[in-house]
Amino acid sequence: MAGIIYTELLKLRKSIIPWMILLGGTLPAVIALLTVSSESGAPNRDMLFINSLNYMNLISLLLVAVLTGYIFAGEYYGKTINILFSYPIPRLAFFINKTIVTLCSVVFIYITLNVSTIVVGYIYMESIPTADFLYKLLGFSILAVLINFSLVPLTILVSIVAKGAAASTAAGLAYVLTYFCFSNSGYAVYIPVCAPNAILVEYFISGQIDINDLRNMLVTALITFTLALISSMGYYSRSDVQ
Amino acid sequence: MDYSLKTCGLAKRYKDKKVVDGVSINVKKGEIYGFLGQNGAGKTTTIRMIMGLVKPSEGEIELFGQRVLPGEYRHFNRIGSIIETPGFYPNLTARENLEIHRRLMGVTNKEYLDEALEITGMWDVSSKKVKSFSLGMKQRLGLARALLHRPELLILDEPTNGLDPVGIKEVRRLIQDLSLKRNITIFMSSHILSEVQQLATRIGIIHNGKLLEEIDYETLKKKNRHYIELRVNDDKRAAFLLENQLQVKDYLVMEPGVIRVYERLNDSSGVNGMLFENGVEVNGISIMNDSLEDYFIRLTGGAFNVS
Repeated sequence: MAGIIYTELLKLRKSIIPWMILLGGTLPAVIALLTVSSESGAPNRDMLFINSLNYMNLISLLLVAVLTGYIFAGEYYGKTINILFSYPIPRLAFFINKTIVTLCSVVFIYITLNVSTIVVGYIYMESIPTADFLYKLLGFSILAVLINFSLVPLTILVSIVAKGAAASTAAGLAYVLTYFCFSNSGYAVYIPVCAPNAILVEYFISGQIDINDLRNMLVTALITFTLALISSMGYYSRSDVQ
Repeated sequence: MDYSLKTCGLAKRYKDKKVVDGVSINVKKGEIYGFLGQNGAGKTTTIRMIMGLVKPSEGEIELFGQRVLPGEYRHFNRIGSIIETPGFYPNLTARENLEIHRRLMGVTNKEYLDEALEITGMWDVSSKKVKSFSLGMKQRLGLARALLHRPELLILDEPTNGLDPVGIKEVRRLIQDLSLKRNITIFMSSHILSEVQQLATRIGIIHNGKLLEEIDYETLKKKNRHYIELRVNDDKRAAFLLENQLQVKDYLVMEPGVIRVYERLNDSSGVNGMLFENGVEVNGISIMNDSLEDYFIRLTGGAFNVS
């Protein structure tokens, strides 16, 4: 297992992915700073983080989809899939390890985001978040990572069926489009692409999430994740490689 | 007799078309098996089924004496392969690409990697990124990767693809050395007859998805027939005369003006005389024997018989 993960990380090390994670994690903090500084009145540290997470939850829909496509479909269009499936290792082991690497990438994106936002906040506002705020931030970030990750198997399925880079990008754009269509609707918490931002403001202001909203978010995310995971695992392990 | 690879009635169907149809291959341990066929004959699909990349529609595969079911993978550490153009991670160096292979194959000895680079002449470029490699260099690196874990069986799909004449010669020498010195069984596909002719100890000829023949090269050489090759100005008339005057049935018109007669080998002057008397100009006459190319063409119906 560790050997496979090491090889996956080696493949990514010199690719564009680390730069995408760095840029993708930093950009929302910068945009949030611009947003907050353009508003009237004294810049608010809490609003900086809220905006940063808001933009991240949107950007990550496309970023994570592209990243997932690179990790999974990249083997197909790079023609390395022939040798990958010729090792004395079950296909599902590669699937699981690649999924773990994708999860780690999502975690790194949010870590980068939060570190960037803290740094930006300190430089611009000379303000460091309180322990209580950091605790809230951690809780929300974990939730956002999980909800974001729940879409990964769906992206995997799309990218390994299409076997091209464009499919995962199209999936990411479809997620973004869905966000814009339904983010202001009453069903936003039921839709994984919209759910994190649907509860973001309420969570940071009240410090709590409505238990029904949380349950709905997690249930729909779990259903999305499970169905797509089973389908993508089945396809990955059984499909012919042409 | 030990067989490294056997297939029995292997077939692959896509919708209503059988691209591989009842292929039964027998590759003995230590031999170089040349899997010969035109482009699109079904060579690569057969190899993909053997390597578990494509699920067979019918048939069985045996590797190292054991039946292999679809999805099985444990035997792959005994097999090295190149399937079509080998793919690599372009931003990694040659060495890093092989390092990935070494780890995934479970090879603990890092010296094997250096050895593979040296054998294939890739040592000097091992620190260069693969994206800067030519097709020939990638082919060599693919060979290095196939050899790294010291397999018992090498499955090579068109191994000289993209190589220049010097590279082809080197790969040929390498394959011969691997077979002789390390007793590695080699199963190589090719559409180039001369390549197979120079290397293979056993040949399987596939055409339109069917294995037409499987034969030892020594037996093939004995089987290859002698013939009288006639170069005439009018092959149609010559063919008519051969059939009607001399009752010759076993002949082939290879190309306009060239006829091969497989009978009356002791009477070439008689054949020449008959044609001359009947107004057919004979510009050349010689006794020759079939090459692998001739055998292949005859087997696959590449030539035509005018009657």
